Amino acid sequence: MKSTPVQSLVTTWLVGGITGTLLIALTSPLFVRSYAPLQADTVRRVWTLPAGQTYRWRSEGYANTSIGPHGMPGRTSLSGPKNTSGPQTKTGPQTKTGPQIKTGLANTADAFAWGTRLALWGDSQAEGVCVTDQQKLFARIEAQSDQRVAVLPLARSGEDAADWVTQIPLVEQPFQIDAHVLLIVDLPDLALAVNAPVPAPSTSDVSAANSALAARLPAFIIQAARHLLTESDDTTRRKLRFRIGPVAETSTRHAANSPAIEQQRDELDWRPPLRALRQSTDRPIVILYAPKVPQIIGDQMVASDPMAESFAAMKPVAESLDIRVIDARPLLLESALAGDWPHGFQNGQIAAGHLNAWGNDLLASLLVDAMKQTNK
Amino acid sequence: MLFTQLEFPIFLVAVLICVWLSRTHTARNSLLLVASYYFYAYWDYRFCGLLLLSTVVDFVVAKQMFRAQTTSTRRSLLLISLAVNLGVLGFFKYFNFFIDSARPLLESIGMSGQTLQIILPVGISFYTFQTLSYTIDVYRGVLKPVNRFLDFALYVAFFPQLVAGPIVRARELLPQLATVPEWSGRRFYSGAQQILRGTVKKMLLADRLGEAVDIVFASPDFYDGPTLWLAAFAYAGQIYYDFSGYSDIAIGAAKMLGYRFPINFRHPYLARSTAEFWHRWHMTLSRWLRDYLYISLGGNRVSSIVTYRNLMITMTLGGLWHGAAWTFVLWGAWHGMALSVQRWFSNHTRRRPPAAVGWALTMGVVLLGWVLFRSPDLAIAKTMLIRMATLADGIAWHPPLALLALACLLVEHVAWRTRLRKAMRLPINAWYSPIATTVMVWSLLLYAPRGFRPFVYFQF
Repeated sequence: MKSTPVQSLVTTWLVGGITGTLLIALTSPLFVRSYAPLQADTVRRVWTLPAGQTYRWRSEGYANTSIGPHGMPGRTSLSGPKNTSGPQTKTGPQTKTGPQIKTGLANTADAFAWGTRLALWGDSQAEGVCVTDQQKLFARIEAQSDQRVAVLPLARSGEDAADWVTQIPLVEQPFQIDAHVLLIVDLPDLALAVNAPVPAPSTSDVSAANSALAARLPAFIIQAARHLLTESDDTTRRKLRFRIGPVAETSTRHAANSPAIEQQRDELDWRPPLRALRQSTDRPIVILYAPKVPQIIGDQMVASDPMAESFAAMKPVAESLDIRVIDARPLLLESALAGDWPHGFQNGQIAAGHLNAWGNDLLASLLVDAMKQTNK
Repeated sequence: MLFTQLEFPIFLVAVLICVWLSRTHTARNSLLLVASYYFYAYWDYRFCGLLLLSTVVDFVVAKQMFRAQTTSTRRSLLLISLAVNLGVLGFFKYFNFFIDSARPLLESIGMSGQTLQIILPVGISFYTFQTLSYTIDVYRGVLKPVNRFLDFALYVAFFPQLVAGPIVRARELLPQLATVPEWSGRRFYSGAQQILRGTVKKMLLADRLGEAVDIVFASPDFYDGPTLWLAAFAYAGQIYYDFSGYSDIAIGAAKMLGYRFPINFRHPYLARSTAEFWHRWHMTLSRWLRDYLYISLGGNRVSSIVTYRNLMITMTLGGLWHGAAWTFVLWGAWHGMALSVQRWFSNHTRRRPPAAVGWALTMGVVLLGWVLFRSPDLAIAKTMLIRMATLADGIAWHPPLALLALACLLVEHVAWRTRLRKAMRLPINAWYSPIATTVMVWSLLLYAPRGFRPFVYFQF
């Protein structure tokens, strides 16, 4: 039976629609980031990407990250790159692995002894999904130290000191951590440290629901739905407006950025959060302070750190608690003035955003130089 | 309401359904008028009064003008229309500019140079030109005044073209509004396709290019010469895709409702002369400036010198129409100069330059013009031009997606000159149309930059 023109048109459009969608599905990994399901990590008590996954990042920077045990971005094994004692295994929270393990270190200088295992904490800047695994901060520290230290990247996007303080005691024994390095980009992140009990990840929370979705749907469908249903911040639910204007101007600035709060931060008493940090471990702690400086704002290069006063107040308190502080600002500034900007990407904005490969190299060099001094 | 907001397709579908259900001409036009005023009030209801004022004045003036017995009465009425329309436009758009520019003079004679906090009503430049074209046409006797206020009010406020054109002349749209258009499935499909194409142009290409442009033009001192050149090219692409995208959506929406608008862009970067560029770029504005300003000044039916003067005045005022800033004035004057030089050459030599040379020279004129047009002030424009010319050192920043969007611009212009031109309209029966349509819809959902990004021409 011959089909009518309408039937033929409908068939053409159905087949064409499916073909077009398939084309998008096939090409989307080139342009769409991963939406991988998370799993509850029983050791860290947080939601992490499962080991063995490859995580794609496509917006600022362009890289695939291999996920290791306990959600470590870029490191596929808990063992050190150059194992000097103990067997090399890939499963080992319970197995003692890695370079020469030192336990019970009290002095911050010991954090930088060759052969230590460092835990790297931080937010997305330390996580480094914008750059390849070899360019990530932990890998650069290991490479520049000629694999004489092992660095476990435990940083996760969006985390702050409140998260680190709770996770530090949980991972020290299983991962045989000798010392902790905290990459601090936003100084207020450090002020949030409090000692509190850590609940286990609940299967009823948002991450669980998102994970269930991510397990069932392709990334391009999730991304399309997110773009359609949320505002540009990717979290606020989109609300349609049909009433006439004008719309009252509402401040879109986050309350935390208000001048009053910033002033409070400048006058912050650093003792409680740093004490909470100190009390979370008896191992050495190193704060690597690397704010986003310099920045281009308008037609000016802003070299000064808006949190400089707060940093100056924090440093002596930290040192009095035997927390070592390394200030990366002079090196970041010097590099930018020489034309090598530590932040930003070609597909984002230079001098803004996350640390690039060069920025990670710079920070790694600061740490490794300090190690070399210690090990002279 | 922005054409790229999610609310717009919902609004359009609601209007289409209501229009479909309305049987009579009066019901249909009333509904479209209410929808158009709602569309405008969505931004700020307080400025609907200005729109209504302009409508009432020109409706009444045109009627009186038609009845007037003497030329002097007709001229007086025309002056009233010009004074009201240009007065409102001048106050809202240019008051602060003139005060700022004249401040040293005002202060030297003991007057204060205080500016006011004035909000520029969206679309005022466009609907002012549209209503003026009606009054001037009636004055010239080429158009009879319309009898039904409803039709005229809809002509002025018709939502697809209200905010940023195309500038549709009364004689093009009023006859269409006087009847109920016939339903046509093909026209409906063609309109929907044009809306989709326009949205892709705006959201996928213009906004992506805009990211590269905004950052560099904000601080050109930090970027190297090639990056500045790329930003200039990117702006050429951005403003084309932004404005032609807007025009496509406007034309498409009108088409779905059964009305025909004139085209506004015809691949302008294929032009081989500045004059040809203006026959391809914002064609409805070029036509307006030619018919109501250039010809009123005497056009080219005067001595050569006066013709050059007319070109300069027309283009400089055309520049000022775009915005109250010296960069726009200079941009207009720059194009006026280019048109004058081209005219001088064509008057004094018989040989035309080879096509490639003509194209390259035209692109040079256009590109440098865009640097003036985009720069927030003359100091930035100067910095941009000097650093571009000297290929200065600085940050090398070449965003790959902006380069991809520029490649699209090139491919689109080249393809339009080939047999692919017909295919680019995506006929409903063609096998590739559903594939291309689906890919465009998915791409909009997945790859359009996020956040509020108004059309460039909204500020004019």
